[in-house]
Amino acid sequence: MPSKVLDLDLADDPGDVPGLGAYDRAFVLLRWRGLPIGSVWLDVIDGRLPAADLWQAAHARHGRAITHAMAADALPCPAEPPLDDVSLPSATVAVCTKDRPDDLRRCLAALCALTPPAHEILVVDNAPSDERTASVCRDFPVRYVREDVKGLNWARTRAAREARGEVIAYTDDDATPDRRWLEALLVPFRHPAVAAVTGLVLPLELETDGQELFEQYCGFSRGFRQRVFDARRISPLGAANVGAGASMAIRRQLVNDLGLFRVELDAGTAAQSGGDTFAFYRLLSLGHRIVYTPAAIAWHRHRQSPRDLVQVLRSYSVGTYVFLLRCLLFHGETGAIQVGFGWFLGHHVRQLLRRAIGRANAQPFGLTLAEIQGVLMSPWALWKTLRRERSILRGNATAALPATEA
Amino acid sequence: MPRISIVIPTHRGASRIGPTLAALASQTLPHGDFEVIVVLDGPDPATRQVIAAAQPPFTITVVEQDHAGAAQARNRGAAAARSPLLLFLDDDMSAVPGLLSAHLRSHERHPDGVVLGCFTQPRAGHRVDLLADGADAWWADHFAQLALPSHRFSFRDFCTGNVSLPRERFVDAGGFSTEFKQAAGEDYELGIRLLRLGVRFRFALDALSVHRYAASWAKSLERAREEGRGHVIIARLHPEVFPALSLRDAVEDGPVLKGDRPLRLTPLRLAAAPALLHAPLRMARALKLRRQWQKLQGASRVCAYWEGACQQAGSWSALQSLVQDMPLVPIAHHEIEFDLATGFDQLTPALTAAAVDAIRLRYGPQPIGRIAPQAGAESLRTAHVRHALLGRLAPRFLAARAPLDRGRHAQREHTLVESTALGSAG
Repeated sequence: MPSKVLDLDLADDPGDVPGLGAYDRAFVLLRWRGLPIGSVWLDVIDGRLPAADLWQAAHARHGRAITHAMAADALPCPAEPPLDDVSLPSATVAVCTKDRPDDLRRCLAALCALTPPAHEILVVDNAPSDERTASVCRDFPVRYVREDVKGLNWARTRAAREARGEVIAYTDDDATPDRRWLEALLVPFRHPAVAAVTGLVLPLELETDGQELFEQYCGFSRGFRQRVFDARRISPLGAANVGAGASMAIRRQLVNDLGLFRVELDAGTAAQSGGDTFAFYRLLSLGHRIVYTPAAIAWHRHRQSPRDLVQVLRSYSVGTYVFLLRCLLFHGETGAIQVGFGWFLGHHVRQLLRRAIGRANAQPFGLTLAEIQGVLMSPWALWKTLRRERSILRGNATAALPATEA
Repeated sequence: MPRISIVIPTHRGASRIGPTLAALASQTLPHGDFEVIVVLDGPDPATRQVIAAAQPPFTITVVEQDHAGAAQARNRGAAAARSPLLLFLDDDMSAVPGLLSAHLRSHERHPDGVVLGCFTQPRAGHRVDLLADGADAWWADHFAQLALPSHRFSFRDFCTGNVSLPRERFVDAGGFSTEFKQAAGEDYELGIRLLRLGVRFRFALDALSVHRYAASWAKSLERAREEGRGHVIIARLHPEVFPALSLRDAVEDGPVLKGDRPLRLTPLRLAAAPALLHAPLRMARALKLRRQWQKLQGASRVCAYWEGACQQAGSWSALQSLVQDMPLVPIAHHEIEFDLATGFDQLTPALTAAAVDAIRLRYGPQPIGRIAPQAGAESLRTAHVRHALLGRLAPRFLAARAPLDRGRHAQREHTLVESTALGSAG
């Protein structure tokens, strides 16, 4: 039972949405004059989405946000000459990709439509098995860089070295950024204390069961209010709540100086995921500030088949527990014990029990078991990442290796 | 004649002043357009030598006084200044190249006000430092607040690290009070007098300097003690700002340690606190248990604050009676009523005609709400009222407006307001 993903601006007074015969439900992003204010799930009735239902649901779920937006429309903003001349920093958009030319084409088309445009768009082709990615890039005004060492974090590190902008904004090849994505990510950087900005990630499509399950159990959405994160507000061990690699911007100098993306982590390595989480952890634990802004929207194409979902959940689980073990063993974060066990009991065991007693919307056994499998694999994965780290240190790749930790 | 005079007080600052002067040497503003006045607070041959050796490319004047505190030093520096604009800079601040131009530009755009600069406290490399985390986050939050167009400036926003104002205004207000010897708060106190003169405060995000600051636990506690002493002095001089000081926490049952279970502080408990908290603090820090660390260090700082306040008041009972005598509501304020049906653009003239501290808003016959006076804050501006109308007053504002207006959304707004009202009632 597929669902339609819709993007509607309430200020434009949308009427009934017709032509939804193939769908049972709709997932609607609600905006007001371009700014996202919330999302709602609605039933499709006779192939259309009635405007009355939409307004009713919008009022019920997001009435407060709509009230504030309407009040803003009614009151003109007093025009005062600005005090400061702070302009937005220059930015490089970096896409790290591996053998997904079709996704990449959609992503680049969106990036080339950004308003205002990016100073530079950089594609890092990570250990490609053929020339398809290179040929897609020839169709767009982008810079193409080939990184032959396999690993997402290796590609991210390479991107930061190659980039010329003050800020580097990362997105994934399976994400489609909104037209205003980059601008929204850059606005918080006006404040010198902000080290990184993350954005809202929503599903591009929900055409298969796999995609719906993905959105339900590991969607990236972090809500519709701007949030500030620092070590005083959340534990750096909760860095996964800060955002996701599909939509994040970081001051480039920090990426290079801190060696923020440890090359032995994330996709393409034994740790499988979590390179972005570890980067956020490092930033938070070193006293930096990260802002989450829902105004920066990227649409992520979730994996289609349920089997892929199992694989993704397992890899997230491995990445999370490699991250926690690493923090505990090498960064003296004793809180990692509590977080690790807490997550295991509060999520994995709880979901198993809920399923066992037949609760609705409990996570399917298969998914939870895959996650538990990931937890059990994590010590071995950590060992392998450490071995890889050491071999990198010894090997001739030191030129590309980021600074080591103190 | 220079366009701006930079006053830098320093006390035994030989190790700090070098980078500060070097940063001023690489300003985008031509060297002839500014002068630097370093005030040595107490005889200090070492610092004198550093300054002489630096040979800065701009005019630099060194003033020396017997050790009398930073407030006195800043007054001396201001007296020696030749330009119409003063910039107070701390001796551990490195100006970014555009700092002076940014201050000047702000004063050109909005003459006759105070321009508050911004600073960052960058961390060196890979060191995890729980103590610095708290201070950094506090400053970052502070500047984020100041940058909001709807921020209502108060005396607590006036900090001397990086701030500029016309010398004339500084003189009108009477300069820094020299009563604050072992106490912090002479900047707040001047802020109170400047606001009372009707001087506008503004914040310039690009008037940026880098604070080369090394946090230490002892310094942090001493700072809390100084604040306690300073707040008592401020409360005695200006009782009307008492509600905006942390001292007001003591009004109900004396000083309280806030928390899940509030703990009433007594002289005995205050005396025992450092010894009791020491070991848990060290443990929380070593194990990186941040939440526990924050609670414990917050408690220690609160205790140090009350210790300082108690010292300044003279005794525990003197502090208690001082606090009990303070007013909790603003004593005298100017309040107006405004009808939004006359048009929102009529609000600015109404607010500029006289200094307004509080406002009652209505739409035709419908009351919408009130913006209360705030102790020690600037008078109301249009941006404050707009912010309140977009925020907490939005539902009533829209409800009052809907029946009168015949806009396209009128009916919809009406139903919306009803549904939100129902929602909030449920």
